Amino acid sequence: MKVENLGDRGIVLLFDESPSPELTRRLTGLAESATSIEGVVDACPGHRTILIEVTPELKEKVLVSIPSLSFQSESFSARRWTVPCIYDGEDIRWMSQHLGLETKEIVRIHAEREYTVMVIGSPRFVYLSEVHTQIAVPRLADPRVNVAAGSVGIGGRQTGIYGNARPGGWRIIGRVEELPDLATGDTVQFKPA
Amino acid sequence: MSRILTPSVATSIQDQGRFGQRAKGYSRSGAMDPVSLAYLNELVGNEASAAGVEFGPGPMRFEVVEDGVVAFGGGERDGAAWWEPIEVEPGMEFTLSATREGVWSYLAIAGGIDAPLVMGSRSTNVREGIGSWLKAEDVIGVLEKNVSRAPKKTKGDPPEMHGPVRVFGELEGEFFVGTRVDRMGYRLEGRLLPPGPEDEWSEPVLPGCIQITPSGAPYVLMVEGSTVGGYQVAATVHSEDLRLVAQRRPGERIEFVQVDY
Repeated sequence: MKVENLGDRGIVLLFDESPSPELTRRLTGLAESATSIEGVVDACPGHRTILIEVTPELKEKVLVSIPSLSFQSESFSARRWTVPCIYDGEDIRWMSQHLGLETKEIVRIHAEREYTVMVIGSPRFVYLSEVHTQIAVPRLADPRVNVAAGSVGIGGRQTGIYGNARPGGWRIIGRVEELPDLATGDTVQFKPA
Repeated sequence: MSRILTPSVATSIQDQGRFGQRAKGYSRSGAMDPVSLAYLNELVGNEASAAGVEFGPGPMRFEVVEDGVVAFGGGERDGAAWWEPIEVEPGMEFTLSATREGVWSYLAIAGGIDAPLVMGSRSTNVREGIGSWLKAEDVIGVLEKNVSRAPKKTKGDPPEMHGPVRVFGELEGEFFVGTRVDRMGYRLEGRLLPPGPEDEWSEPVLPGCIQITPSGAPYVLMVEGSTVGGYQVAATVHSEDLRLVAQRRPGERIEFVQVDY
């Protein structure tokens, strides 16, 4: 683990590993334990990093406490969510042609896997773990100006959910009507609705 | 209590920000110039953390509905005393010009502005579905009605609105603010920088991070900036100086000065 500064309010813990659900659980647990250090305002897990936001005056003290951060996997409690998904996204036909798969086959492959919530961006953009390589597709060359809230997309090998409307370049395959209160490390299984 | 007659662009209720929620995808939000809002709160006898009204560079009109004490500050305008407590009574109207200087102005009201407390903050973030932009006929309510009406004299001058901007990292010298500025971020012009590889995996970032977009233009993340990003971060603005960037208008000059940790 490398420790780097990000301005006067940020400390980045960088893990030299490929992103994986296992690493996400560890980052989530470590981030949670970091929030109890005096001077820590926030701790946000990324795919391979944790960004700790601090009160600048207490940064040196926080830096000293970082090596003692620990993660007990047995105390980590992730939740499992089943999320109904309507697979009528505007890119699903294109995907069918591009991949040479019937749309119902794309739906089956996408809904088969249980995904881990890797990162939650803003505004509530949920980055999930990897899809089966059979349905991996490149992002749009020209991102859309507005992608509707609830849209489910695939960008490269990752799948994800647009929790709020925002611009974006992921291929949209479906939508969810209600987004549960997800946290990183939770798992999501889509149920075709 | 006041009623908005004509809102400016991007008129909203803000406080010092929403902290500790980035892991759930909620950005800091809050005032673009939190120091100006805190100073005005002090002028009217509020805690620094009280909510106020933030408004963008256009003209703004509003009318007073109840007795009270208010103060205006931030980006300078004509039409009201600036950085001073003002005793107001029903029927008074304020017609404020567009900003002569700066971008974001603030109105503080004794007692603080009432808005729902969401995850510890009253700040609006429209994109995140928290509150909405204020519009004509919206009434701004006061949180604590029975506050001392005596205007307060503060120590110290109003916050400085100009100055060099300290940055941590590999970036120095002169840039100009691009044509579009909003609460998410400011694009800078004047010089392009090598963009570096776009990261396949988005990682968390903070307000003040200066990302290099694929075109090579630096982009400063502001208080509503994305909580995670895939672009290379070339440098990070000192947290005390981000408000100085926020207050620069399109075309105005910014001078970055490198500082060490």
